[in-house]
Amino acid sequence: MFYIDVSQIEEVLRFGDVIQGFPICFSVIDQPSNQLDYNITVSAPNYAIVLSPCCSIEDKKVAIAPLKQLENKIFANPYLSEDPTRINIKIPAEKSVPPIAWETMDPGEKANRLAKGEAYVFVEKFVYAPSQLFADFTISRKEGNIKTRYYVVDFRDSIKVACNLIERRYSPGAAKVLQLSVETRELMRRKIASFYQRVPDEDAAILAS
Amino acid sequence: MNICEKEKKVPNNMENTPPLTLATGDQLSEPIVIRIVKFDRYEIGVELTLSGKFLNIVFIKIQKSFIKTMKQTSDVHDVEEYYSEE
Repeated sequence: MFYIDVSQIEEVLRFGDVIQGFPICFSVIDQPSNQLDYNITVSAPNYAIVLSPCCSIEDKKVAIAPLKQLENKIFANPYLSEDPTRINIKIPAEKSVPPIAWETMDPGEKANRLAKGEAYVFVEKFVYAPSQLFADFTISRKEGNIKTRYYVVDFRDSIKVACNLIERRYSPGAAKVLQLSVETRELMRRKIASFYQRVPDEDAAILAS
Repeated sequence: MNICEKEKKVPNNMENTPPLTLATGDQLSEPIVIRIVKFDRYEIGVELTLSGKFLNIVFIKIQKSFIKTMKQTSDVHDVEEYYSEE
């Protein structure tokens, strides 16, 4: 079960909740400058996702990110196309890329990936399963069009919203539309942890010296 | 110079180092060796007498090989280059 039943949705906000009525606002700059030369982009996505951990939704602020349509490129891999929520879990190396890429991959590279075993792909993304609330959209591929209702949150899109109402017991009412099941929320927690836990090669080299 | 003190300051990777010969005037004390014991992700430097009597723990550090292992077991397949929008 990806979401809990609507009748069981808790009043308080939780990590991974699907919410509405929260604008997305961020600054856009050409380059860093002391001249305060910037633009501000504001959008009103249909839905956003709570990215603050459950215990940190307090002090009049919450981190959110827009819920976006799943990208076309994901459907290049039949394993992911069949069930895009497989992006949320660790998958075998041979399923992690489109079949043609696996077949033509350098044997050494293939061996390295096989040695790694099951791992995440698109570590910055978490896919949301279809819901009656979500609108259909069409993925156009050369193999044909695919109608889908899978959406995705990209952890890199996280922004802060300030709201005087937000504290531990804040009940957003109708603004909260879906809540992940405990199991799904745990999957998302693990994936966002991996997103931040990656060690760049240059740091690994220093740590190992 | 106290031979035992010098012995304590040897590099951490010196395992089962034999004691140096005592010089004239040095106090005759039981020689000490530092043995590196690997435990889980740690290397523990244990000070022992030659007869194996425990004296002290002189350092605890993370094994370099463990740090390397952490990197190698990264749980992400880098796949971006194999996917493209159409």
